[in-house]
Order: sequence, then C-alpha cells, then structure tokens
Amino acid sequence: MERRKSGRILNARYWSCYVFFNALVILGFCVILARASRLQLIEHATWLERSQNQTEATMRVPTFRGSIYDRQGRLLSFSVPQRSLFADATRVDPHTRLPARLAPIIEESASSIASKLTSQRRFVWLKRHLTDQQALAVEDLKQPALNLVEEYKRFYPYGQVGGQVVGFVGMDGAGLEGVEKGFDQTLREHSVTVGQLQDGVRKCLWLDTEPPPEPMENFGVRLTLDTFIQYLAEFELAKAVQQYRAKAGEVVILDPQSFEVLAMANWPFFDPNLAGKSSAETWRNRAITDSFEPGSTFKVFVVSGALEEGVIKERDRIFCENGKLALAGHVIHDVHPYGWLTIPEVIKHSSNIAAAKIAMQLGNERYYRYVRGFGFGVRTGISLPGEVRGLVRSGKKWRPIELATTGFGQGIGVTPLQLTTGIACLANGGEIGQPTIVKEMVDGQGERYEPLRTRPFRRVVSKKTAQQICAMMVGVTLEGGTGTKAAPEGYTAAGKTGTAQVLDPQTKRYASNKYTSVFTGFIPADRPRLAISVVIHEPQGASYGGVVAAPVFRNIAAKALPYIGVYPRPGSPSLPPGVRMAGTDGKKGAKPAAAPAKNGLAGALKPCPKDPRAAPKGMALPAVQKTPSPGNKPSVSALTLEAMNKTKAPPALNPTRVP
Amino acid sequence: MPSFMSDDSFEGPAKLASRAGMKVWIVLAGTLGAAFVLGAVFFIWLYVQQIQNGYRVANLYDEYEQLISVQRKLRLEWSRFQDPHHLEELGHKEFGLTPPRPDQKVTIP
Repeated sequence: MERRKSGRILNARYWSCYVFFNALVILGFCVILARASRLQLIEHATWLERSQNQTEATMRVPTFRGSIYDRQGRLLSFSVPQRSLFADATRVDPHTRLPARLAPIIEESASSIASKLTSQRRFVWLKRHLTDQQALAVEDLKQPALNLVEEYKRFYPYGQVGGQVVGFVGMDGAGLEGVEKGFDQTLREHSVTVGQLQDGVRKCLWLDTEPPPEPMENFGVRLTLDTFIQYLAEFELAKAVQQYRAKAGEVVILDPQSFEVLAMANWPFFDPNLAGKSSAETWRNRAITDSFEPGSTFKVFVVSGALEEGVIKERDRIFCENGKLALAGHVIHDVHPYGWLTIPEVIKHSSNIAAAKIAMQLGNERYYRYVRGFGFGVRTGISLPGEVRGLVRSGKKWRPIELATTGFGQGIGVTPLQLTTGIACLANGGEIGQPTIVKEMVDGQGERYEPLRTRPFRRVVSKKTAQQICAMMVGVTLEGGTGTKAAPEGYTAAGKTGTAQVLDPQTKRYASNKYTSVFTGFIPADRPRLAISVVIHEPQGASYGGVVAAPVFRNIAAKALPYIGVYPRPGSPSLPPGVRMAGTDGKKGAKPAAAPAKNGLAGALKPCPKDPRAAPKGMALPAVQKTPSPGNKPSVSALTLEAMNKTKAPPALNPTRVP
Repeated sequence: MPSFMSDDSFEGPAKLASRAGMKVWIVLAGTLGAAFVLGAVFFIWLYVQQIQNGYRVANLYDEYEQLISVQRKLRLEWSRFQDPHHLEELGHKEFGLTPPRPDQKVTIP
C-alpha cells in the first residue's frame, strides 16, 4: 500500500519535474529564439555595422601625382610621400606640456601650438609635410592625441631651372601655376580605397585571393624643354640683367623646325620649392603673360609682308629723309640720319623712317593680315595658363600714324614667345607652327604614352621671301650691322635688334629713360637650329638691343649649339685661335661642323633639312659702315597710343623703286 | 550428455555475422570519425595558415609601400644632384673649378 502510495508520489513528482524542466528548456529555447530573432531581424543593421567596424578597415592605395620630365627624361617635378601631423584636441592631456615638447620638433612656437590645441576640435592640423626626422621625433613622444597621416609633397629637383614654366602645386596637391596647372587634370593624384580585414587590436590582414593593389604614379608629361639649355638661358640672362641692373628679362628658345620650346627663362627667377615664400610677382611666366613693344625687331615682319605682296623688291631703295620725318603732327627719327637705303640696308641699319614708309605702302589691311599671320595678336596655344594675346588693334582702326609706328614695332604689344615664333617662322622657310611646351604624355614609368597633337603648319610667306629676309637678318650680325655682338665665334647668326621706349603708366607717355632691349634671331643662319629671343626690360647704363641683348644671344648660342651637335666651323675666321678642334680620327680639326650629337638632343630634335636656307649668293649686301651703330631707338617723341589715334592723315610716302 | 554450448553462449551464424558487421561499422565509424577529426584539424590548420598569411601579406604590403616611398626619395635625391646650379656650386666650392680659357677649350665633334 505504502509502496503504491510512494510510487504514486514518485510518479507525480517525476511528472511535475518532467513538465517543469521541459517547460524550462522550451522557455529557454524561446528566449534564445526571441533574442536571436531580435538580433537577426530587428537589430540586424546595427550589429552588422558594429561587426564590420570591428573587422573591416579601409586601405587607401595612393596614385601619386604624375611627374614632369624634360625632353631628356630628367625629373623636373616629382611627388614624394611625407607625413603630416594632426591632433585630436579633445584628447590632449594638459599635464603633459605637449606644446612645449612639440615646438622644437616641428619648429613652431609653443604658443601657436597651444592655441591650436585649445580649440577642442577632434581634428586640428599641427604641421603638414614633416621631414622623416620630425615624424620619427613626433612618434617618440607617444602621445595618443597626436596622429600622423601620409600625404604627398611635390618637389622640384632642379629648383629655379624653368621654375615659372613648371609652376607649382598647392598644399592639397592641385596645380596652381605653369604646367602643373595647365595639365592638372592629367597629373592630379587620386587614391583608390579598398576594403581590408582587421583584428581586435586593429592589426590588418589581407585575406582576398587577389593581391592588394599597388601604389601607382599617374600619367605624367614630358616637356619639350631641355634643362641644360634652360640653365644656359637663365645663366646668361641673369648675368646681363645684373650687369645692366635691369628690371626684368626673358629669353625664349625654339626649335625652328618643330616649334618646340627648348627654353623659356624669366628673370627674376622662381624656385617652385619655395613657392609659399616667394612673391606672386615672380611666379608669372612673363614670356607668355606680359606683352611689350618689340621695337625694331618688328621691322623684319613688315618687310616680309611687303616683299611677299610685291610692294617692295629687294633692290628697291627708300629715302630715309636724312633722319627726320614729320608725320601727322609727330616727328619720326632715325638714330643716325640716312639718305637712300636699299631694303637689306633698312634692316641692317634699322631705319624707322624706312620701316614706317614700307608699312604705309603696304596699307592697313595687308599689314594687319601679315601681323596676324605671323601670330601676333592671337594666343599661340602653348597650353600654359595665363597666356595673353598681346596688344594688336584691328587693322581697320589703325590711324595713319599708328600704321607707321607699328612698322617699327611701336604701338603694338607682343609676348616674347610670339616674337620668337614669328622669327622661327622665317627661319623655317615661311611656315609657322604652334609652339609647344609639352611633347607627350608618359605613363608612371616615364615611358611614352600619347604624343600631344598640335595644329598643322601654316604658310605665312613664300620660301623665297623667307630666304630674302633671312639673308637681310644675317647682315644685321655682320660688321656694320646693329647686332654684331650676336654672332658667336665659328657660327653665322641672323637676327634683328630692337630698342623700344617704355610707356610710363603714370604719365601715359613714353618715358625718356626707360627702354626695352631686344634681340631676336636664329642660328646657324644657313641651317637654323635655334630661334632665340632675348628681352631685357629697363636696363641701366646701356639700352640698345645690340649692346644689352645681343651678347646674351651670342653666349647662349655658343654653348647650346655644341650641346645639340652643331659645332663651330673649323675654318671660320671668327673662331678664336685658342679653341682647338679635335677630330674623331685623332687629328685636330679633321671633323667638319654639324656632326651628330652624342647627348641625345639632336636625336630628339628633327634633323636639319637638306636644303638650307642660305643667303642667296647673288645678294649684294650694302657697304660696311666703319663705325658700327649699336642699335636704333624708335623715337616718335613721347607719342602714346591715344595720341596716335587722334592724329590725322599722313603725308605722301613713296618708296622709290630702282630698276 | 554434455552440451557443447549453453543457450546463452551459443552464437549462431546470424549473430556472428551481425557482430562482424558491427565491428566493420565500428571500424568504419572510427575511421570516419578520425578522418573527420583530421579533416577538422587540417581545416583549422589551413584557416590559421590563411590568417597568418593574411597578416604576412598585410605586413609585406606595408613594407612594400615604405620601400616605394624610400625609392622615390632616393630618386629625388639623385635628381637633385644633377641640378646644374648644384653642380656649379660643387665645382666652385669643392674643386675650385672655373670656366675654361679659350686655349683650354677643345671641341670634340
């Protein structure tokens, strides 16, 4: 009975336990299920994000800003990673005396650092682009509030060489001047962000089957500039500017066959590495952004136009009014009074009166057409920022006095690049091309990727006219001409001097003591390889283009020509006796000039044409003057552009043709 | 008459076959279990290796980035040495070089 009773009790207890534990387990499962449902369904996004934050990180794969090379592959501009320092101001412990410890490392005052750290912002730049030593010293401080992040700083290994042409970038890597700005879209750095796993202590690991992307360099550009020629140009320009205490100066050197810019020097110089510390005035590439009155150098263009149109012939003679011509209430002077001059003599002696008469004879419309044809008054399209058109008023608006003065380069504004392009056109047999500064796009390894397309060549004057004018320009550098100091020993040069008065911005009249000295030409005269323009603004002590600018032309040419493989003629009377020629066969003087270059530039430049534009044999150059005149200043007495516009009709000007 | 075997101890051919089958199953199950364990160990080893390689790849990548950075800095230094102004200064100050006189010039075509 008891046993049955106890069995019943046991049964009841068993069943109650059984039910209880069953219920407990089911309840437990229900709780787990409910919790799992909450986590998986309701709070899914939150937990997924937390999970991702704990295990996933992003990796920034840099694409460096593209490099800039010169035509020989020398690095002109290059990006290098450097670390920058920022702070989380909310985590700065005031007891650590952080500003005082940081100040000597990053070379900033403690007060300046302290003011940044009191801002209570979570991100404050303390210093950008630290040196490696500075970054290591900051790391040694072991301050949780300090963080280092890698950025890319632009360096210019050649410093001031071509500084204004190359330009510079801002703190955030955007191009602000020069090629850096002009080709910013091509060069600009950018980063690719890829996902990466990390563990609990934020240590990264890469589990993808694909390897992590490599840091790359963006497309770069190869310039037409040659660093050595650029250096020569800058060296000689600086020497002249300092010698004559000039205000500024520019030199532009073009290859007259390809119209590639080999050098573009501006004084004062500018080192892009110190862009932040330099005056904005020095950033400007004056060779394209500033126009000046070209003075007598412009006479070659008016004579070219007149020869091409048949208005004058080479053997014509023009009466130069014995140095004084009254025109529309103004007087045009020649530096030396001349009577009758042939056309080559007009160029050689640089007669303003004859040039004015030729311009008048050519007429507004035709002269303006040639001015535009030679590329004046229009942008060259060199792909550099800030290029100006120059100052060329429409030919229809030219008053007679304006037409006359434009004939000798007054009342017109051109850039040094435009002037060089015009001269290169004559050196190239009358065909003009688009001057280029960028040769091609290159990939990250500096290998050629895509050449830059330029406008096709365009004929401005016939080959015959170009040959005639080139021969006249040779006369300028020969004895008796205004540019005798332009011809280096062993070479024949062709060129034209110019000395232009400068407009005083205050009085709006030409200043009596301010000039622009110019020499433009090409060399060697028979096979032009370099077209060079030298412009010196406001020199002191001397002002003539033939005295101030021509020696710069000579010195540059004398050093640049052997570099590109054009050697002085061994038998040339102008070669100094001290200079020896060494032949490749071991005999001195055995090898003629113009041997192939070893330095590679000759390969980069186009080969010389077979038909050199030599001076016509039959051309009779006028008798040589005993006393060389250094140059010729235009002297429309204190005549401004406004004054010219007010003037009336000119007197009759008739060049006399001699059969 | 003595019995050869009691009823309990007597194992008929079916039972023997069943026991043998069981042994086979046990062996198979053991083998399978061992294979599973080995497979699991191998899988874990692979996974650990993968993680370790993941860390190694990440470290190598960092190292590669640093080397690229150093290479770029060295390239920059090399270019700086070729700066004509730098060479000129070096020539003047370190070696006392001056521009040559005309009689010192030899043009090599």
